[in-house]
Amino acid sequence: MYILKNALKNLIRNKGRNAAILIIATLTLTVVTVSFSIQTLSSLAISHYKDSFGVQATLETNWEKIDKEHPPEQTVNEDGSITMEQNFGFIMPDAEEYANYADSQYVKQALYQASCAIYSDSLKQVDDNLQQGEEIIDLGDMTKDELMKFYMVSTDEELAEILGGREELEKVIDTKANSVGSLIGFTDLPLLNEFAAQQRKLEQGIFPQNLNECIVSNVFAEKNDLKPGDTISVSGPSKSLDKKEVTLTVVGIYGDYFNEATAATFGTSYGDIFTTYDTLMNTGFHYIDLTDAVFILKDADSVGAFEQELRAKGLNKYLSLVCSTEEYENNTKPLKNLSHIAEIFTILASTIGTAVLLFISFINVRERKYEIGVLRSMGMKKSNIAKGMICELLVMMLAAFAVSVLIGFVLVKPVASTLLDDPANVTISLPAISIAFSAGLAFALSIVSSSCAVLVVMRHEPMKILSERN
Amino acid sequence: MELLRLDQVSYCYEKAEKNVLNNITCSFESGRLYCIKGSSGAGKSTLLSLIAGLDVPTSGNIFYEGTDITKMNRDDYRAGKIGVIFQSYNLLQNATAAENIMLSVNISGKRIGIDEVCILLSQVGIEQEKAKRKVLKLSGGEQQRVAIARAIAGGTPILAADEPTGNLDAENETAVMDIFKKLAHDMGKCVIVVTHSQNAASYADEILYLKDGGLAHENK
Repeated sequence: MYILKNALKNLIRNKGRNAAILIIATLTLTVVTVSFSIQTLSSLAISHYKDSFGVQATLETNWEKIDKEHPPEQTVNEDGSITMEQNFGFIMPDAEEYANYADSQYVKQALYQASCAIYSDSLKQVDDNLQQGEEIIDLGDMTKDELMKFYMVSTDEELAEILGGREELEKVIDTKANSVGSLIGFTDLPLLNEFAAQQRKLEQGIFPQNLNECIVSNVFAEKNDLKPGDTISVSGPSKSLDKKEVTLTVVGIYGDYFNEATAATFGTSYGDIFTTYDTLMNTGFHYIDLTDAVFILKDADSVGAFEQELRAKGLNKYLSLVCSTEEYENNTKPLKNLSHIAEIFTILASTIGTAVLLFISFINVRERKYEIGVLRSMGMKKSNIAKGMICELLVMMLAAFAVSVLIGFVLVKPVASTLLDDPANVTISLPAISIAFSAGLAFALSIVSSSCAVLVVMRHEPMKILSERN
Repeated sequence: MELLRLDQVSYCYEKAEKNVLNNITCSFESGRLYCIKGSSGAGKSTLLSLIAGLDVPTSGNIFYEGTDITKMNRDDYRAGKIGVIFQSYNLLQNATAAENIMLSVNISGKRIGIDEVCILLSQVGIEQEKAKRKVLKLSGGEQQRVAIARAIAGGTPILAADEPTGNLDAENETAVMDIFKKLAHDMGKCVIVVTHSQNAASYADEILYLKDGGLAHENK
């Protein structure tokens, strides 16, 4: 107890020297606290960016590779047709394969969009097509006879050759006539380009979130006298397989400005009915086309590893994983640089602060050699003298730590707001880890500076210390 | 009763060619006042620092109650067995007179209150008001007396003093030597005083003379 009492008294007795130590320690700890906070906050901002956006990757055809490696001479079917696989050496993965690819540690989320034509006896058509306008051609909605007429062929074989095989012809033959529109299933709003571009806007109700919910266009709603809460029944495109109807609840109506702008050139798609991806896949309809698939990767650095995994899972060699890391890099690079600079600053401030404190402590102990000699001559144990000196430094470091944390609280917000491009992404406050780091450094500084200095003096006999002083 | 015995004690300073103390053998008993005399540089203070356990002999042994002090914990020996009054006082300059005494007592594992300290200081001629003054602000003579009070306060069986009256006038010298005499004769302490003063030496029960590294008894 007397050691602690004496240590506390010594703080006052040697106030000049202690004030210098206190100022340097406070400055060091403040700089370290703030720079470590900046480092932590920029890392948090990067992590927040990763969590929010990730890196988008898609599977795309590597035409260059196909040109180089895939021989122009392919197997031709009996009917003279060539399938896509025969022609180019690959077919695009279906929904099941995509789901398998997305089941990966590197994938944060997989976004899909798929569609299929829908039919209904109770709903009226709203879109222009070949039947209603001579100049507007929609091959996807034509019957076999219409296609034969369009391609000016007279036999099934000739049409099959043009369509890419017997299978495609069978599909055309099996497809019902006069669809009322398309049922489009999506996993995520950003995939709906027209909505993102404000060409289509939700005007009533909500976007579909649950199974069997959908939104329809204002034109479609008007023509069919629909409002949110009403239900519609639709069936799939296959004459032979899609005989059952599925009932969907209209939960919203969107205004379609996209079709107004493009109708004259491409026809209209007022019949686009949007639903969730799961709803579409659960309908059991046939001839569903996966129109868009995007993998959101956790990290830009995992692109290579993910592609390797896809190859191992059987991804065709003519398909490549393409991702745009440019945006990711543009957004995270300044933060990474800031984090790196803050890290260097933290290390420098810690090192310089420790060195200066060590030096001052050494001078301090040299100046207190006489005091140590006196205490030793009175029989005070070396360990007790060390304890006393450590106590003094601990108390000073505790004070310096408290002051530095207070200053840190005040400084971190304006400094971080200035340095971080978009501080709204992270909550700016003094991170707990910075406080812990500062406390650890304060403790280490007091132990290292006191122990090191004490060891220098403790090597000598008290008489020697006193005689040197005297 | 023999309390302290020096057996063939020699001491040589680092890088010195000659021993400053040479095969010194002598013993000190409880209840007696010893004076060690000798010319300047004869090794009196060195001998006292070896007795006080502040340094170790180059050769030979010092026994306290039969135990070699180099085999003992010398911190405990200094704290509990011997009180030292240094020629240059060796007080904590930034601490008060009272704090110096209290700290010394605390180191020996005992406790002392401020009132006891003030009584002790008044016995050596330091008024209560000066007890709470920083040592730095006391005169040389006053510091000398604070150092004496500090050595006495621990209640150690041996008291070693290096020129304790060097900065005192005749009156105070007499007062201090009276205290030493009382400590030796009434309280059974072994008091060893290094001095040049003939007056101080006159109080001794035994006078030892240090010359050419050897110790001789001097007739009173």
